[in-house]
Amino acid sequence: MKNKLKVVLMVLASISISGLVLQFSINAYIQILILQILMYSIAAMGLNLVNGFTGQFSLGHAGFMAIGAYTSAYLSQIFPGFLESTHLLGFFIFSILGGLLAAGFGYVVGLPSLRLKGDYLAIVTLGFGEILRVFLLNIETLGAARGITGIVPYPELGFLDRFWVSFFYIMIWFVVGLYFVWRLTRGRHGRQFLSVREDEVAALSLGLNTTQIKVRSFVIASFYAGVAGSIYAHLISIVSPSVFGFMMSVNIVVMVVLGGMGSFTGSIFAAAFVTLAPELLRSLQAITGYDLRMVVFSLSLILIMIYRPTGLFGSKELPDIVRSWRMKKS
Amino acid sequence: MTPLLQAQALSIHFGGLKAVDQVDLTIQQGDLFGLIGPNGAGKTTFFNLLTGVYKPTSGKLFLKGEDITKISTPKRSKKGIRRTFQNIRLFKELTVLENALIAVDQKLTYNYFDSFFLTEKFISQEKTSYEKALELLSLFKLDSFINEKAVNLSYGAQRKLEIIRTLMSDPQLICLDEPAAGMNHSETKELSLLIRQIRDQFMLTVLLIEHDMKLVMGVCDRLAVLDHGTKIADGTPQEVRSNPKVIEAYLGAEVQT
Repeated sequence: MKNKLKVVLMVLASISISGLVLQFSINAYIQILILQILMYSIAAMGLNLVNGFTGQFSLGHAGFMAIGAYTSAYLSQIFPGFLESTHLLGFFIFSILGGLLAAGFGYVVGLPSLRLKGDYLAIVTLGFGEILRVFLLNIETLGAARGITGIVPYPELGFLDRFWVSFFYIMIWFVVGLYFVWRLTRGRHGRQFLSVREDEVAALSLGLNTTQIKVRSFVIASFYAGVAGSIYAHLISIVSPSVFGFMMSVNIVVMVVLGGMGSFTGSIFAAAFVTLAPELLRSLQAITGYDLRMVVFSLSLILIMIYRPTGLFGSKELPDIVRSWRMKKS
Repeated sequence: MTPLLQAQALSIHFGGLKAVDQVDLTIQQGDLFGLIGPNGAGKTTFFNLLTGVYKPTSGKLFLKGEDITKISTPKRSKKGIRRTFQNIRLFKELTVLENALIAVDQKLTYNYFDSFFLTEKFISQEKTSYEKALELLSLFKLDSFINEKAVNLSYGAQRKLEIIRTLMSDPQLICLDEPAAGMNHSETKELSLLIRQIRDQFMLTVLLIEHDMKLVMGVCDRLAVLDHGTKIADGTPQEVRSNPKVIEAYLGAEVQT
């Protein structure tokens, strides 16, 4: 118990210190990119559980992010004083509510489509994402096409500016989220997910309720997406239906596939790559005069998939890879 | 004593095809029961009825006197009916150890929070299932491959791993669907010894579908013969061997040598 407390305190301390270092060492543009990477990592980690571990294919993750984002945005609009008076706790409550609502939608969408074998989930989630977007586009109380603007951002605390608070807040979700899926996949639940991916008939014959297992992984993934969406809302301060379109879903799937199906650290690296690459390529535009960012970005994705078809990390995690490197060296 | 498994007039019809028709079968506790018959006789279909993959058109199934006709596959598995597959169905990309551990899942009770906080429950349950897996793997001489992917094992070893999977959670009845298919003579011999050994050691009942007559005749206590979906004979290997109907249907010259 004492040891666990120590670990928690060390994690909190290292988050705070790295937040401080980042606050003073880099400019605001890179800061916001870092926060976005963390946010996308949370969504991608969750999706990896479905696409990588359970072997299903979800194509509507942006929809679940939208639910989390709109929940958070709408709540902070109708309870304007709540976030100011509760400091970070209020943000946590909103994120959890957003996540739970997304998980609820995940259950409703997942249950009928996951009873079937095959690619039905991809079709259903694709449809779900689009339907939700059109809904949001037409609901006046949620701002219709304008979306919700002026969402309460993360506050400042003394000499710690907005970046530090956002970093601290998102990092906590990130660390807890990563630890949860990490532990989850290294026990019976992870084995259940994998067995469904490998052979559903055999899993059934071993007494596993495969539908329940698939729905569980999908609901957890939806929760992660909802939380990521809620983080997005307060980070960017604007949510609108057009943001959570099909392209965002595809982006998250790209992160999972690029990082390696079944590798959470891979998803994180890929989230960084997918977020940073188009930004870094802006300098190319300054030289050539044409906007070649997407061309180069897509080409690099194609090349990676040709030379590393299982993704950057395969199904291995970063510590495994480091260990095998060391073994080779010695 | 109530028989372990009893099928009463079990039938399944696919349209006009009577794949299994009015089959009565009684398997006593501790039996090593063989189910034989020519290709297409309905043996595997019968297995699928037994494990709940198919729902019977009519008839009833009892496990220890309890009606299990309408129970789903995972629930039957929890009641202790475990099977292997004719075309091996291992979790190919997972390691040998993971394959074995998945089979013990229904005995584990820890939840998400136990695995998140690494509680005592998580640790002790993972440890016992690991030990159990290791014990069975070494019994089958597969313990040197525990971190190998299942797909990389030899054919015979894959068959063995499937049998290990059925044994992981103390089953009552294990159904082996052609376990000797694709094995050579010495492997088949080894397998028949092994089947007897696990029956005696784990005190369970084995139902065997097999084409290899040597294995069936040598290892089984009792046999039933299916042909065109109906049961044509039932009894000890000697009785079945001399049954003219069986000889006519399929055994013929092969046994009379």
